[in-house]
Amino acid sequence: MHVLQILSDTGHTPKSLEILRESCNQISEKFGLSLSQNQIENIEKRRVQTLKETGRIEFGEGVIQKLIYAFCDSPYISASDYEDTLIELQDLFYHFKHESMESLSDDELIEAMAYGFNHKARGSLSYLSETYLEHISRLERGGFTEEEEELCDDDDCEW
Amino acid sequence: MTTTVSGRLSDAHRKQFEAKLWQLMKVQVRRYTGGDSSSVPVELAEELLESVLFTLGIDPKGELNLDKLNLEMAYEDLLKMGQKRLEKKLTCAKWLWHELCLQLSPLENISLHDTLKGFDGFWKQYNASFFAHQIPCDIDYQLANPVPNTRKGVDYVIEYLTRLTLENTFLKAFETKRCKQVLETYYLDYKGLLVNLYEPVLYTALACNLLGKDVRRLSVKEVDLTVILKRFEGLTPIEISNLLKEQVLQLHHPLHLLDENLVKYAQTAAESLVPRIKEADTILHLKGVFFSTPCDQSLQP
Repeated sequence: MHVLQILSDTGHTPKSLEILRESCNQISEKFGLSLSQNQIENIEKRRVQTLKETGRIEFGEGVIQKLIYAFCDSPYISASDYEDTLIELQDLFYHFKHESMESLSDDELIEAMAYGFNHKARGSLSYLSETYLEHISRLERGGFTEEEEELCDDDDCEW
Repeated sequence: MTTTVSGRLSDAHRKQFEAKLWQLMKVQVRRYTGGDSSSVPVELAEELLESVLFTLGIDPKGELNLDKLNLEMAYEDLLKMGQKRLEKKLTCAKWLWHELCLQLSPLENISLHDTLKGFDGFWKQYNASFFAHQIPCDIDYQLANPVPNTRKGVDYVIEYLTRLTLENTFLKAFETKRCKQVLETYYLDYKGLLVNLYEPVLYTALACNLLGKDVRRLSVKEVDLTVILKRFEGLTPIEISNLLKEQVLQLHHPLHLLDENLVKYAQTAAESLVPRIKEADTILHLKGVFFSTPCDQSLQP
């Protein structure tokens, strides 16, 4: 038996997912958004997969509740694309957590994502990912020269 | 990282162990990140886990049993107890280092000096809370009997300093000038090279004892090598080993070194000579094992 097998996250149990779903829906229902049990299971499966892909491991409950809290009032999310958008945002979260070299806390990254999604990207996940968050990550990694930093839009740091 | 756990645990006990460890890791990660991150890179998690296991006294590569796993106790409490133990060990290690620095033989060697100086950094950087298994300093000076890599963190440092103290005690039993002469014979530049100072002095003392000479003089002539060769002629490796053990024990008496740890350490170091002595069927070959020391009139009694 490998001791490190205990570090492979097999995900939440169905019961804990049910509790998580209820907790998430309590936040989002007032905005006409909610998740079914099947949808929360899909999000959870994707969380486990993304963690593996990004070489990360999670001991807490995950960030889906925080993501929902940050994005549920976005004018660019509707009930029809709620699940897919959350999955994509969750993916982006873990990816850019890694890309920013752990320099951003969970809350800081989610705040940046929400600001970028609603203001810069105007609901475009590809713009959020390929332009805005790439830029933020590069700033965090110290990848810009002083001149380049001065040319950056001050709004990027508003979050 | 390919740590494995083996041991006859029932499935229920194994699951209990995993669940407790998971919970403990959850707390550790939260502490380490200050609550800022729910996830961490796997490499970091592995280091944190190794530290936890080391602190709990659980060897992931060893046999596990229920006594070692302490499934009845809360692991957070066990971790705190473990950390307190490590802090005490750190104090002990620092004391060992301090005493060794005060008592150090006058024989100079850059890597020995740098290694001892480097422990300054270890006391400051050793992190018993999250990276207890790590050794945050460079330990370049090679011992005659190296500490096994299975020892981790402060345990490694304690064992290293203990062994180095034994070597130092032995070296100080001889006149410094005589030791220098031996080292200059064995090495081109004993002060600047990454070499062990203890081995040549031990081997020369061993040669003296084999010859029935006063070991304190550390004097071996070219002609003496013939006598030594004859002592080992026709012996099996086990017989050579037993002879060396006996000689090592004897040579410690005139040096007034009665600590059995010193003797055992020297016997282990001498054991490495067995295959080389076995292969040495000529004086030429034996010269690679025992060196004749030049005759220095100033060192005559």
